[in-house]
Amino acid sequence: MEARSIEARVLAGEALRDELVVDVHCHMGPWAAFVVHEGGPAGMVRTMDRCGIDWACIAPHAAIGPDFGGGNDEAARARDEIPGRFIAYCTLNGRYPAEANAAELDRCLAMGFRGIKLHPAVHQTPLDGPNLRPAFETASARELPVLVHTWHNDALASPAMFEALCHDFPGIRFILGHTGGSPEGADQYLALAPKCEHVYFDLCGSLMNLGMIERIVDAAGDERVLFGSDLPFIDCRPMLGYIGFSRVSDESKRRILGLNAARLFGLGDR
Amino acid sequence: MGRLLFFDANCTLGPRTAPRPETMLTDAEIAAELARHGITHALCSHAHAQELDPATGNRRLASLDTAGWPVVVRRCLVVMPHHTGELPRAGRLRDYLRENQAAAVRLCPRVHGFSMGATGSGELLATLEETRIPTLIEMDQTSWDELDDVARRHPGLRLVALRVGYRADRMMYPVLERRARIFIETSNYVGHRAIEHFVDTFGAGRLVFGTAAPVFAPGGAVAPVLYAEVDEAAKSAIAGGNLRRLIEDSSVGEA
Ligand SMILES: [Zn+2]
Repeated sequence: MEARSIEARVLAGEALRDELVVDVHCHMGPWAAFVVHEGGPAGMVRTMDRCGIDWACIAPHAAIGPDFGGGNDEAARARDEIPGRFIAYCTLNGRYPAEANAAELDRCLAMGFRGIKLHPAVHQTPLDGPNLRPAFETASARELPVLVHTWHNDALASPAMFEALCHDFPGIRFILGHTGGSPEGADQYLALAPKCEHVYFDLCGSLMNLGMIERIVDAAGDERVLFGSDLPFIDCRPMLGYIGFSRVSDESKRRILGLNAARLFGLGDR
Repeated sequence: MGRLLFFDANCTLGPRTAPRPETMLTDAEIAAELARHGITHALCSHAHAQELDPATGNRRLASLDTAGWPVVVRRCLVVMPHHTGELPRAGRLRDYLRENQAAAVRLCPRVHGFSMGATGSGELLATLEETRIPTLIEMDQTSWDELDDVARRHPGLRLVALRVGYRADRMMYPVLERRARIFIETSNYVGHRAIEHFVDTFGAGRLVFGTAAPVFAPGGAVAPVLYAEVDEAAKSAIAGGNLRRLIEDSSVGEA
């Protein structure tokens, strides 16, 4: 029997169980502005299973919000309670002193966390401020993925800041969150693709304009584009549909869905 | 399980004012794009009715030759109150809707600068209520308090709220508990397990599939329904059954 395309399988509502699927942009738990239904680890795994998502890379909402230490603990607990499904980001917060951030990163790395998550817009602090630089030294030396929330006209995590940081910290694998979330954001951040070798683009956004994935793959190549959904801030199923029906090859879809992330996070095939 | 038959409640045809290049499709290309996603029927408005003038855009919608398209187009006329003489009122409005084969209507009060209050829109809404025609309104054109008030004054009106967002539940749930004839279009209703929780709370009869094409990619709209953890009857109601029933229940086609 001929192998069916990913598009045909998504159209049939099939879980992509035999593909490696890694969602690089996930959270966990409640959030202030609206109800998150079943936002805990079990609810997330339930939705992941429906889609065939193997791994979720998580930064709990508590960590993005007012409790980065507690949120990081929550990530470690979820990872340990449901083994083989969660990869933990160490969330740092540039509002807090450099020593506190450096110590928290050391603590998280000792617990086996695989990357860093930063949200300059929520923390109201610039990505290139002094409080994060010691952590960036560590991240660069260890070639860690660093997921950063970006959005068009985001003055706290601007393309110019990334350009300078990827020069100063060449080992960091920056993942730009929400590249697919707004066409204007894509315009602004995709300009980094030829300038910074280790910048990756996460598709995450609550909506996606027609033709965005095709455009991002054109500009950045299919090896630097990543499946990210914001689960459970947003459901992951729309993004599965955006990728599944995009007009790129199945080979590109496999890279976006998981193979690129596997390389970045050092995952073996399952 | 059979294939889901998707009926898109929220598609716009015609040239728009400021389209992104990626979304600048011809009407026939839009239809082909919908069909590729398993969509067989689409309720469409004309961009000129929203962005220029309802009468002009509705005329352009009615004059489109859609024969041979891979999607069956049903017409959604854009309407507004009659007081300024731009569209007819009451019985003449019913004739206008019938003559133009309107399956539904759409209101754009903020873009078009009219009030949804009793003085501004009371007569229009009463006519729409009488005809039971599905009445679409995008959430950026209204608020939950306003919809609550409109539904209180016009309990028979079939209101379909378009592009309800993933953050809406705390505002929306109390209104839906009280107002039985408000329906929710799903294109932007992308909260985690939002469809499952909605179906548990209100049943599957009030969710109406839509894409907001061609601005947004239909893949993100079909997947949450294709992958919803609800029974097959609920899925098929959401995908198209509910909208079909709403359109069939309208009396506009009756002379
Ligand atoms: Zn996020």
